[in-house]
Amino acid sequence: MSAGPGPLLALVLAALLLAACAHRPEDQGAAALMAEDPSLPPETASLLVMPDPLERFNRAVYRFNFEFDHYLFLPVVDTYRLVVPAPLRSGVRNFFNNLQEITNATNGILQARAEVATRAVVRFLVNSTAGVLGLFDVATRMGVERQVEDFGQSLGWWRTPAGPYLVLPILGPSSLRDAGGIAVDFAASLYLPPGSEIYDIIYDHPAVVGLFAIDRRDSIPFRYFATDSPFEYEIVRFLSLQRREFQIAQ
Amino acid sequence: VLAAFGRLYQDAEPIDFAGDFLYRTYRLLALPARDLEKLVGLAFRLSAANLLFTSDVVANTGVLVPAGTRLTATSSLTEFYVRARDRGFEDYFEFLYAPFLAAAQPGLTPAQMIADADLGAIQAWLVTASHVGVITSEDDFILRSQDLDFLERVFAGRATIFPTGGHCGNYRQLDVALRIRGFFDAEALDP
Repeated sequence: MSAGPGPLLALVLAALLLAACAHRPEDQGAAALMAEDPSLPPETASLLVMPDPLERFNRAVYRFNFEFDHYLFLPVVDTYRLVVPAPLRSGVRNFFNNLQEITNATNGILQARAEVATRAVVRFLVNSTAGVLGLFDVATRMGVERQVEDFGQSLGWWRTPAGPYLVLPILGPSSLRDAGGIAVDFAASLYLPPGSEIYDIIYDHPAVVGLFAIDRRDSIPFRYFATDSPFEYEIVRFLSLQRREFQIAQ
Repeated sequence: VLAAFGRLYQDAEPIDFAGDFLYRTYRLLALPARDLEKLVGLAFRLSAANLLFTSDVVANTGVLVPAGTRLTATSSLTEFYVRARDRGFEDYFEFLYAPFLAAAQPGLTPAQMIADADLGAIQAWLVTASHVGVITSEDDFILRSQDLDFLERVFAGRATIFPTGGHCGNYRQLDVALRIRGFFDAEALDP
């Protein structure tokens, strides 16, 4: 991986976030390296440093996720990419994205944002009909852009703090708030119309659930330990929490 | 800067490190050269932190991580990151690289190590090595003007120095690629 742009990009991303922190105390020999530098006020210590009360658990799950990815998930995804032609894969992607519009609409309403909710409803109606059950994303081509809204974002929209950073098995970086959000969105799709009806028809088949999982992983370019940095956990922690803040504000 | 960065980043899938993200970031932010320099510098600083920490742990030198510390998959590395981040490449050289090399070759001074790593150390051979050529740019930031003079003198007739291109930034330009190929083609005809 060392030749690709990935590692450098990761560094640059992280560096971007460190912009205010450049500081170099005078050299005082090896002993000084060991001691905490008292000249650094806590707030200028890196943005990559943040409270992480569940760190031990998180790191264990992070490790598990890597192994799951490496030995099972990615080989399956790679096979999927090899066997299934691109147009078909994009149909699968669009299909599941389309079903997600129900969650987007619900959360648009929960955030009292009519424009966001309307957009999700319009997209769902257009893509389910003109887009042949969601296989084609006609709405985007018409200029109605997709905007993902989940319950974690709704909570964040109403100023619920993220809570401790939490790495979920398989699902990856999250927070206590967003993990709860995932559970709520899932429950809503199980028990609330129209999601529940669709769920009964579609997700009742294990093969569809499997395809869903494969497609979602396929949509995420992230690969574990591709940053070539021993501090990848810190970089991912910071970037994923930042990203959620941006999503909520959007 | 952070807000613009966020605008770009919000659409990326979770931690989208792939692709031409740097270039898109650069284009979108329309950073002044000054900020870009800062950015590149900081990226190198994190690189140095990676180097410092990894070497220290592998060689168990105790410079950053107290000797004998057992690090596992669940150990927090954040405090070591903070220590390493505030150091730079020079610290890596002084506290890790130089002692390591000195242990293998007693009597070798840091100044001698630096001199040994310079192309000047093999100048006599380079002058005669017709199969070794040089391609670089005048504005490559790792070269001082005396370095360029050295290259032109030692590689007389075998050095191509483009006026621009930075550090390896022009390798995908057609005339640069042709020049490189031309060198090897001539080399193949006249071994």
